[in-house]
Amino acid sequence: MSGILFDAIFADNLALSFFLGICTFLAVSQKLSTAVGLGLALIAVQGVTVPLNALIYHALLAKGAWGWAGLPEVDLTHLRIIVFIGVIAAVVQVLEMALDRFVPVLHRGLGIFLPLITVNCAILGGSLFMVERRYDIAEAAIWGIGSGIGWALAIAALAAIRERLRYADMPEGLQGLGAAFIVTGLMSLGFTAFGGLAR
Amino acid sequence: MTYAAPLALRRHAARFELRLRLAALLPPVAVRLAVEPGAAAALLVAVTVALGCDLVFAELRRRPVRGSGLVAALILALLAPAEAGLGEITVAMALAVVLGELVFGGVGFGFVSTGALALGILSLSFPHLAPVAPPPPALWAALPGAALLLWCGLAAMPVVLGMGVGVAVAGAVAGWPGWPAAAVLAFGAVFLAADPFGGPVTALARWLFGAAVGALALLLAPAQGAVAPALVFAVLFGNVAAPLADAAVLAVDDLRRGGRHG
Repeated sequence: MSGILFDAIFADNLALSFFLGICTFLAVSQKLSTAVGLGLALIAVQGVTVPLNALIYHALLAKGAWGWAGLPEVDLTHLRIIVFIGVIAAVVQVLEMALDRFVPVLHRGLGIFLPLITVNCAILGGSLFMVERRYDIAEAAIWGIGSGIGWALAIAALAAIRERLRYADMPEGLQGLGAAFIVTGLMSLGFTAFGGLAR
Repeated sequence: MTYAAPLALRRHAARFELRLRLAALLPPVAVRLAVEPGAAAALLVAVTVALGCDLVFAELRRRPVRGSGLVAALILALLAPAEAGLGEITVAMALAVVLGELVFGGVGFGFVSTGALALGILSLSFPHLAPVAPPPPALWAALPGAALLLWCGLAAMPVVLGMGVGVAVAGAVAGWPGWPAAAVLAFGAVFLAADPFGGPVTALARWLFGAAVGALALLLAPAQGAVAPALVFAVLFGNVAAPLADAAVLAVDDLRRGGRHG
């Protein structure tokens, strides 16, 4: 279990090892406070949707899941993407309403990127990895929270670096997104350290 | 802070930071060249590439030549394996100095230790070229330079001490790596981890950074095959996390103050 958690945060970091969710990763990392807020939102979404999707997958979609109804041949795995997206969209909707009600500053800061978490590939990727690696519900919960923490750490670290780089003397064409791409590459290099440590 | 030089001297050191860091690295590099004369070509190529990239950027951006990448070139010459070809050295050095320093405005503007970046790129691009431990006489020869850097504040003492703590704790858990590996770690603590531009700046974050890098270097060593490549990647990871560590320390500090005054 701790192995899954460690892998999810460091070795299999969704943002820096698989480059998933990079659009939001690059776009919402100018300010550390906003990045931390988005990271927390992602931990929440990931922590809820991955185990929920695991539950749905094992109970309804996997081959043989309908065996109790006398339909052992039914295999609905091809529906997993649309089902997972539906679950994610619902959870994000609830999260958005909650943030709007309780943390309006963060809600405004995240802007369009909050509803866009729905189509954030890190979130869907988390659920699809869960299927591919045959995690059970408990493992899926650990993996969901861990991969959320890993992504949140990565975007917070990127935002902190970008805040520090305000004092750098970069060529004009590289300021902003260009710098973010280069920094992301260097960060990914830093995270390769954990690759050899897997499992 | 009884270990540091007087403030006036430290200001002076900051002005001549590049010269002092190069001077500190010259004795160990000279010793390695004496032990392995074959490394001379690598040193020559690394320095030439660094200066060449620096010149191109200076010319294009109308900035003075500031010696970006020279320290990294010496570190590369000291830790690169003897079988590294000149083309491979060129690739690693050029990528490290351009992506680690020059695109950010030259030496002092980046956020990673360029020496560690050059070694990391070398071993990632060419997996058979993992960094090697410098020969023991070279490590001895690095002592005066290390003392100089620490005394002048060009290598942060908390990082080095923190790394000692991290190595000791990880060593207690995973097994003591032996004195040769400890010597490599000590060298890396001063010349890679305590890079004046690649680490955190708040005192507490420096302790944490040092401890994390030390522990990580030791724990990664079995997977990486030796302590030198593990150290390089631990430093790179530390560099990536350092600004966040600084921000966290400052935020906690803010909270504490806020709590006390109002």
